[in-house]
Amino acid sequence: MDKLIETLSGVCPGIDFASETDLVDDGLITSLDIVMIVTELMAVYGVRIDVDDLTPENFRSAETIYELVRRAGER
Amino acid sequence: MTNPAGFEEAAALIPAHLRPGVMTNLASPEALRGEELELLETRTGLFIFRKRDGFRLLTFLMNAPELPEISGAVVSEAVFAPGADSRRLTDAFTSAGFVPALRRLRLTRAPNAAKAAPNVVQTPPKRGPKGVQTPPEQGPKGVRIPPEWGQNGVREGVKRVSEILQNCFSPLTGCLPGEAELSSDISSGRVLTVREDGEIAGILRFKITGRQAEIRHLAVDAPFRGRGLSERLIDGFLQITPGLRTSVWTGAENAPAMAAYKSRGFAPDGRYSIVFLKGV
Repeated sequence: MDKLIETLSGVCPGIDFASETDLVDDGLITSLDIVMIVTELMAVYGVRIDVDDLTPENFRSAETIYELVRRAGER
Repeated sequence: MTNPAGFEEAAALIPAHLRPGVMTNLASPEALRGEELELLETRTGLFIFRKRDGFRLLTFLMNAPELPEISGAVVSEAVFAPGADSRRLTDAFTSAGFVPALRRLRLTRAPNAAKAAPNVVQTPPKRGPKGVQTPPEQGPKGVRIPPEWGQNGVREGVKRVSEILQNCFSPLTGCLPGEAELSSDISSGRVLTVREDGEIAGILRFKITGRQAEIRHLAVDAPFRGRGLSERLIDGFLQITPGLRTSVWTGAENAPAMAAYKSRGFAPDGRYSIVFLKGV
């Protein structure tokens, strides 16, 4: 999780990914941020994230993003 | 592939190109909906063109830094994470005949940033548009928040605000709103104005999502510059958006804007973009 938070913070500086729980609805990340996060996650973790995964629910918090990466790694 | 293409056709091609190593400026596939599109798929990626007045906006998903031959007037903006190396993408664009015309920096102001508006006129809270907590009728030194327009004033407001935006921003790189969008922004209190000599001299257009605000445009018409109107508008904006994190994109070479924002607690957060132009 620490590595993930470091990755997310590198893409979206100034956001407390460790404690925020509603990143999308609170407006802390935008659709552009989501795509930038996804491209970075694919590069760092070598996983394939689909367009269908680009839903607000998957990017609500560091925990939901962690789950997304885990599921992507199992495909 | 057919051109012009529809949203469904573009959306169907995107998944194959969204893979590890992709370089893209796609904000969301949904952003393409309702647009008049042209598609170009090559061995290096997918290139999606959105029609604008006199030029096309290019969205790309590239899996190798190589653009196809592109004709006509085209504008594309690539956004980079803090510290990201832009050379590979810049080289790809310049090799295809594009010119890196503008570099923008994102500035962010934390909700708890030091207040830098000592002369703000505090006015009693009043019911306002969603997200705007304490909209005064008049803020620092004459900054006004619509509805100041009156019953038929929105149309006049759109006209004058459009005029100021067109005077201050390039139609190619200024991300200018259409009439309907601007009318909606004005009606919903998302445009602050400042008057000098009886006319609207400057405007600040913003949006709010949850706990995040974004300043979309800050513009002062040329005859009124040098009077501190930008700072007054920013102060007015900060007065009505307490507790919100705020970001704004501004030209890296735009020293007056940079100084105005920094004086009010904004600082570059490392995110930056490059606008590439071709045939314009």
